[in-house]
This record gives sequence, C-alpha cells and structure tokens, in this order.
Amino acid sequence: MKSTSQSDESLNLGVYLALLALTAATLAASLLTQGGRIMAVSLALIIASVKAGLIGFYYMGLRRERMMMFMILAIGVLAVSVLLVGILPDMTFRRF
Amino acid sequence: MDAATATEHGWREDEGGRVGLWFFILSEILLFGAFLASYIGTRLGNPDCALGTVVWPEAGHLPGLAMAASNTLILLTSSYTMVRAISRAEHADRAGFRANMIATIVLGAGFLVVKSFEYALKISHGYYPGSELAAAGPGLSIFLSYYYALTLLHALHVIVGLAWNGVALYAAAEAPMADVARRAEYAGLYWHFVDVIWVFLFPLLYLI
Repeated sequence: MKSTSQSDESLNLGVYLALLALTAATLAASLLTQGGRIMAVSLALIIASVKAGLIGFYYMGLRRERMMMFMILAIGVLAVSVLLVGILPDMTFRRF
Repeated sequence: MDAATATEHGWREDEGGRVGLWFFILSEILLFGAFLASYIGTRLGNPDCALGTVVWPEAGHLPGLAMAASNTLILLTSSYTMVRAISRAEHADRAGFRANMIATIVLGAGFLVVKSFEYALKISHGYYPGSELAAAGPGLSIFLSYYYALTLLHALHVIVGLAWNGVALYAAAEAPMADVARRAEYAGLYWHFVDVIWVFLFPLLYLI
C-alpha cells in the first residue's frame, strides 16, 4: 500500500479535469472531421489512447508499479495489435 | 504475519494480489480487444457501415449521443471519486472513504440508468437486430449487433464493478483501515479498467 500526499490529490484532480477536456476534444474532433474518415478515426483513437494512458498511469497507479505490471499490460496490447494488423489488410482490400 | 513484510526477493506479500489483478485485467484486454478488432475490421471492410461515418440514422441520434456523452462524464467522475476513496482509506479516514465510495456506486448505478433510457430510445426507433429497419439495411444490422454486444458486455462489467465496490464498502464497516485500503485499491483497479473500456467504446460506437 502506498500513501498519497496532498500533491497527489491535486494531481488526481488535474487528471480528472484533463480527462473532461479530452472528452470535449473528442466531440469537437468528430464534428470537425466529418467526411474525413481516416482523420476522424485516427484522432478518436489517439485521444482515447491518451485518456486511457492517463487513467492507467495515474488512477490505476502504473507510474508506481513494478516493471512486471508493464510486461503483463504489454502482452495484452501486443496481442490486440497483432489481431488488428492481421485483420485489417484483409478487410481493407477485400470488400464483402 | 504482517502483509507488508518484504520477501527475500524484495516483493511485499501484499503485492501478490495486484499481480493477480493485472493478469485478470490482461484477460479482459484480450476479450474486449478481440471484439474491438473484429468491429473495426468489419466496419473498414463493409461499405454499408464504413468506419469514419456515423452509422446511426438521424432520428434519435442526437439524444442518444447526449446520453452517451453524459455517461462518459458519469464514468470519468466515478473514477475520480474512486481514486479519492482509495486516498481517504490510505489516510485512515473511514468516513471520507465511505462518502467517496458511495458516490462511486451512485454514479455507476446512474450510468446503468442512463444506459437503459438510451436502449429504450433506440428500440423505440427500431434500432435493434431483427427489426424491419435493420433488415432493410444489412450494414445497420451488423453495426447494431456489435453495438448491443459491446455495450451489454460493458454494462455487465459495470454491474460486477458495482458489486465489488459494494462489498468493499460493506467490509469497511469494522475492518482495520489497512485492509480497507487494500480492498479499495483492488476494487479501484477493476473500476478504472471498466472506465478505460468505455473511453474506447464511446467514440467508436457513437462518433465514427
């Protein structure tokens, strides 16, 4: 168990406000990129990844975790990436 | 035995629970990752529900989007109250822990209430697999199947998270604060992960 300080509590509030701002950015980006498919998808996924990173790093405590937790997480990210990379070429170039 | 005692390898004995939880979260990443990879691949390859253009028909889309955006705010706020609950428990502030954990549970329940209203709205417009509207548009039917599968699976995780939080709150009545903090930390890890899943579902299902 790790004790939290006053600065940690301020940090948690800052992360929360950043998450709200990024949610607003997600909505704004979807309005601004209507019609631009690749841009819309890329922006949405980039913003979602930043939000997930903030939650994981600060709220789930990854910034204080051992390397082993990052390795466990990396297995999941790698497996999903392999799945996506394996599926996307077929789906993109062979329409059904 | 003192749970915080360091082992000969430098690990504290109470860290085993967190390792187990991260392995559990890994299994959840693989579950949702497989669904999302399939969803993205399907929408990329299908001109009827191409990725990058909103699939929802115009009728009822904006109220549904407003509900989904509200649910995003609700879940993000619940993550903040959860991290405050853990912080209060670590400071041996039982009342502060209880107040923040109750807020987390109320917000989580609020998410499910808003979600049920959103389902009712969509069903009233005929947006469900097997409806006449869905049968007329194969792309919409495929999209709706993914929408309900992913959101219902996520809602199931919210329900499990609520139960977990409820147990942590109930067990905090008499337990030593060190135990309360550890249980809160475990419940928090899962709750934050449920939030992360929604962070990806929201733009992928409603905005693109």
